[in-house]
Amino acid sequence: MKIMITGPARGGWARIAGTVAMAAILLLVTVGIAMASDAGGHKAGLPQLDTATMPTQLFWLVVSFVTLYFLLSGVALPQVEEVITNRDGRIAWDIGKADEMRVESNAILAGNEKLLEEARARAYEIVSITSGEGQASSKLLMQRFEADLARRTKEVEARISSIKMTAIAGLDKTIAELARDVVSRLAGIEIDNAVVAEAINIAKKERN
Amino acid sequence: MDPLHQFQIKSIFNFSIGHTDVSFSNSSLSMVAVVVIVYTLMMLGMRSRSVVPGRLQSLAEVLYEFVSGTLRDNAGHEARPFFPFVFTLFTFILFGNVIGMIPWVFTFTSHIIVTFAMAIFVFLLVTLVAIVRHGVKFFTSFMPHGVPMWLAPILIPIEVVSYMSRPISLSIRLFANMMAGHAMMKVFAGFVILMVSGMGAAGYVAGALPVAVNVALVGFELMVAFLQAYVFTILTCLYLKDAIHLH
Repeated sequence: MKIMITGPARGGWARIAGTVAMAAILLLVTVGIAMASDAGGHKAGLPQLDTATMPTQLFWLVVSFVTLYFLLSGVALPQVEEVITNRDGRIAWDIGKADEMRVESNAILAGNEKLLEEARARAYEIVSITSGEGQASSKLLMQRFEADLARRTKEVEARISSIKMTAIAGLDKTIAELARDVVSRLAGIEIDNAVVAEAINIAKKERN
Repeated sequence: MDPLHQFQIKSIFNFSIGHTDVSFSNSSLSMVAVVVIVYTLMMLGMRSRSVVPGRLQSLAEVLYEFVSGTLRDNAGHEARPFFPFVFTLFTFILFGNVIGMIPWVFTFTSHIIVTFAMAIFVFLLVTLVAIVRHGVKFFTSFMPHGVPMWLAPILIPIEVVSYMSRPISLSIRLFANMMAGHAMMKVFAGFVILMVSGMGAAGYVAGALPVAVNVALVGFELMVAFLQAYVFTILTCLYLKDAIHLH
């Protein structure tokens, strides 16, 4: 809060005139009020002008003012000052501490960043090595699997062909019997096995 | 009904030193009450001395910072030794004015002898400070620099009278403000009684008007109570500055 007490320029007539005017107004007011209260039937005038009460007022003013002065300057004000000084010190200390911690945390953060960078690089390395290994092993597996597959295929093919041969051989015999049977039923003659086998051979040749 | 009745000094305990009557009066009671209130406020506020202040401590600290700032801004750091005095002056006048607003409590600052005693003390103090700090050079301050010599017979008396009138204006300003305010409130309060006794039932309605005026006046007077204490303090600071740095 700022209140300007603007008096007239230093010194000069204006200040004296102001003081005189103020005194004159006060006198008028005082006389006016004093007359009014006289008219009201009181014999006493303005209590402020009663010199009889002045010593007691002065005496108690001095007593109370001096007491208050020593109580405040000796006891109360140093306490307030101490608290305010402590607080200012505390605030300064806190700010200093906060600054220190900020620097420290920045350093830690930078260290972390570096550590993270390293870890990342290392992880990348590990991943690349592992994936190389993986590729190699999977290739090997694949080769094994392919070899295995080829071998099994061959085996199965061999078995199929042998079964086929057997089946074809069995078929010739069955056809021969069937042919002999058909001839005996239709012609009523018994034919030799050798004849049937020759006929089958001729038929096979014709088919082929 | 007499608006000046409230300013009468009434003895509570009679006693005297030698032949001088120094009875403990209603005025003395208010002064002692102010001492108790200010001291209690400061001590209660500072009881916990905490870094984070409570309500009462904030009040005590605000008061401290306010006076401290006023003194620093107006009189500079060199006036620091006078801080306890200025603080006592401000709180004594402020609380004297404020408790005077409580009905039936005597306003000791409404008496010219009290304000004049304080003003003359301030006057003597700053004059002493000026003489101690500047010696004979202090008296040269009554002759402004760069003024033709032949003006000295006129200017020097003006400056001297101006300097001497300081305690008068300082004391009259405070006393007249407090007295006028309190008398005015009493006058308006008296109107209510006049209206009721003069106009009967209608007076109860019409009487609301002076009551409304008085409500506004109470707020106004509270402001005056603070403002006059502040003006007294700030002028003391300015006088101190003049005494410390002769212009």
